[in-house]
Amino acid sequence: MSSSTSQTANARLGLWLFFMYSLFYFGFVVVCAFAPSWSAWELTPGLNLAIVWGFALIAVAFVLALVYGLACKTDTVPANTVPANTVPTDKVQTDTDAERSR
Amino acid sequence: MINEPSLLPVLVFLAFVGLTLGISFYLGGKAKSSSGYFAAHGQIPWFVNGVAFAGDYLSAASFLGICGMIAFYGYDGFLYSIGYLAGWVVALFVIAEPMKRMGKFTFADALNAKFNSRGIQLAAGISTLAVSVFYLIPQMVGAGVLVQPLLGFDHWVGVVMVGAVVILIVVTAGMVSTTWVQFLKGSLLVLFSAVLTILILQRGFEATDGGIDGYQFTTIELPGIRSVEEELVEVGYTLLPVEEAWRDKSYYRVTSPTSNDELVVKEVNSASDSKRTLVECQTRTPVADGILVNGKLQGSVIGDEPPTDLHPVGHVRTLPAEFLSTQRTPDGNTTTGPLGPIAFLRVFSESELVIWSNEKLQNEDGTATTIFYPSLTRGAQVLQPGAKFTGIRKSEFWPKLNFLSLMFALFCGTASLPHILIRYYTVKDAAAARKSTIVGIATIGFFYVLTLYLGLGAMTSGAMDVTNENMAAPLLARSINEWLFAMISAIAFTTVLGTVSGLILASAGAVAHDILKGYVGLEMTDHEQVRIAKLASVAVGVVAIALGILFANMNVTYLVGWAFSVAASANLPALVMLLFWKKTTCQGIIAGVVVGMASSLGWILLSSDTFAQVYDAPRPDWLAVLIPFSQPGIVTIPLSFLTLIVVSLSTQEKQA
Repeated sequence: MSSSTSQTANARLGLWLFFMYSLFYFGFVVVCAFAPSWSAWELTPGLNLAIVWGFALIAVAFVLALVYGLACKTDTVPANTVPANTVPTDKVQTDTDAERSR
Repeated sequence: MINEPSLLPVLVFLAFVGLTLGISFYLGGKAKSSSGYFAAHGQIPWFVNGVAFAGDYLSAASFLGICGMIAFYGYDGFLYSIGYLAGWVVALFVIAEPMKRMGKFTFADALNAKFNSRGIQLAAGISTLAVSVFYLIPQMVGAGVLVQPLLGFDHWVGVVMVGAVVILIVVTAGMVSTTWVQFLKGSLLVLFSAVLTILILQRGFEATDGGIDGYQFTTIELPGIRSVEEELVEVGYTLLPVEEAWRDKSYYRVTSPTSNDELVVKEVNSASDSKRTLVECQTRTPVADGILVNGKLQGSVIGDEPPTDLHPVGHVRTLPAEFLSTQRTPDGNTTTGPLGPIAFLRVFSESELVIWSNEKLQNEDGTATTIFYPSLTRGAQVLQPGAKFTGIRKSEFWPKLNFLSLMFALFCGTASLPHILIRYYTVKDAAAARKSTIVGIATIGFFYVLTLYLGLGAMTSGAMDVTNENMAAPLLARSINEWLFAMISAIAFTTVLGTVSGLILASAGAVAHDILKGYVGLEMTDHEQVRIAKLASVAVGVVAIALGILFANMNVTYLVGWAFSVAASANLPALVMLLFWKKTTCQGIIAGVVVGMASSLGWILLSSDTFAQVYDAPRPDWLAVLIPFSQPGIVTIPLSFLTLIVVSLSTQEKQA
């Protein structure tokens, strides 16, 4: 139960980040294809739009990956904590069950 | 160009390959069961797996192809870097976790986890095989390229060597050793590329008149009043007869009045309209008894001069004004001295460079001559897209769509490559899969930033071989230091070994596990399955060797672009729909995979690029109507999605 909720949450986060990055990427590709003259525009001497956007695409991929990695709920965490709380009670129950049957 | 082997690189190289084989044999002994052979028992630490991702992914294509493309065309090569990296975003955010949860050994397992259908197993197995073989071609071509300057062998010897060593690795080892070898190479490749980049920045730029062999190319300035022929004769040149095909393209063959050498010159657009400029070209004509370079037999020795060969090229001609008076090298050339990473790009964009292009002309006697000609370009021009993908600077629509299609396929392709997907099974859980992907993205992203500097450094190193783009990175390293050249070549070669073994392993898994066990239903013990996979490895390896020799002259990264298109068309729609659309049926997946694979392969085989560069034959006109551009992705990926949806909807089982 808890692992499937974390799976859905992770999947939703993943799709959001994917969507954001896609816009950034295809924005770049469309500018290259249909307005190549824009890419020559220099932000500072030597750094034109094509280079800055290209480097940014690499940097942003890494930043989003980190965000995803930190924000993702891990399956193993709830899976470990839940049994940690429930196992003793289960044990008590089975013990009493065993006693009752005896 | 002729490549003379020297002892040091050979020793470093042999040590490297020996080490790789040693690791393979040592760890191979530990992987006897099928889960050990295909998936390293799921016990690889995530950090190691992440760097191994980089090792798998940063193949010969990334290193040799991208550097080569940047060195000859500028920014356009970097577009591949961007596309290859962006693909990881799809892999991490969409595919990584569900893949890890669903599968066991292979990509087909994951697709088949829900339906348990023999049809899916077969379709996915065949698509894995097709993509892997397509991706193997550029790796093998790259291997040949590396061996040429390093050991002085012919291209095909390199291809056969890699094939043999890899078959040996895969047959003796499996996923455990492959992973550790990839980890080692991934780290070394990134490390040494960083060292090379630092040395490029340290060296800065130097304005010269030619390449590193010291040869000075002739430039002839003419008044531009009468015909070229008359004016050439007037300044003392003797005109030699040329074929009609040459004259149409403004090439002239002359004898120089000073040196008596025979030159081929080309008229180029002059800076001032009133003048006329002709530049010296280089030629290469294969004939019956060898190869003629610049009119003489390649390798022939005249007097004390070094053997006849094409001259290395690619240099800065003028630096920005600020450097003109300040710095001088011992030869009297202006130089910038060490530059920071941003200053490097600024100085580059403000300098004038000489870069070389080529053109192939048919002669009347049946031979063909490739003419290499220089052009003077401003650096800023080189740092914009459009030199390789010339289509995006035109107004027509199809060339632009071709470019979009490539970038779309690169974006979708990474997450569909079988040899990348199987790496998700070598770690223990989804969290580890995620973490190793992040490590992979960091390593790969850093490397791709370096490729821009390596490529631009190569472009201005004066060491480029006009006949082979793929050689740019090793030749750049050689122009700095022989040791570095040895290290870089050895790492690149072992990288090829690693990637090829990963691919062969993926194909072997497809044959043994998906097709023979899953589809044919062959009853096999665990041990037999591993043996069949090893036999399949040998077969795939032999096919790869043959294809590597056949495709020797294409830019390797361009070939990889095609492999990405096939992977994205065949695998991605099935994978994505299975994960996110509940109505997906077994038949839908089979149809999607088959249509995506067949349409993308068919498109590539009938494209104008393949006709021009592989078949070397004219393309029928009707094909241009059917397939108006070369990159299939933008058509075949949606087509595969559409097929999957339509077939799924028409094969819905009635819900009770």
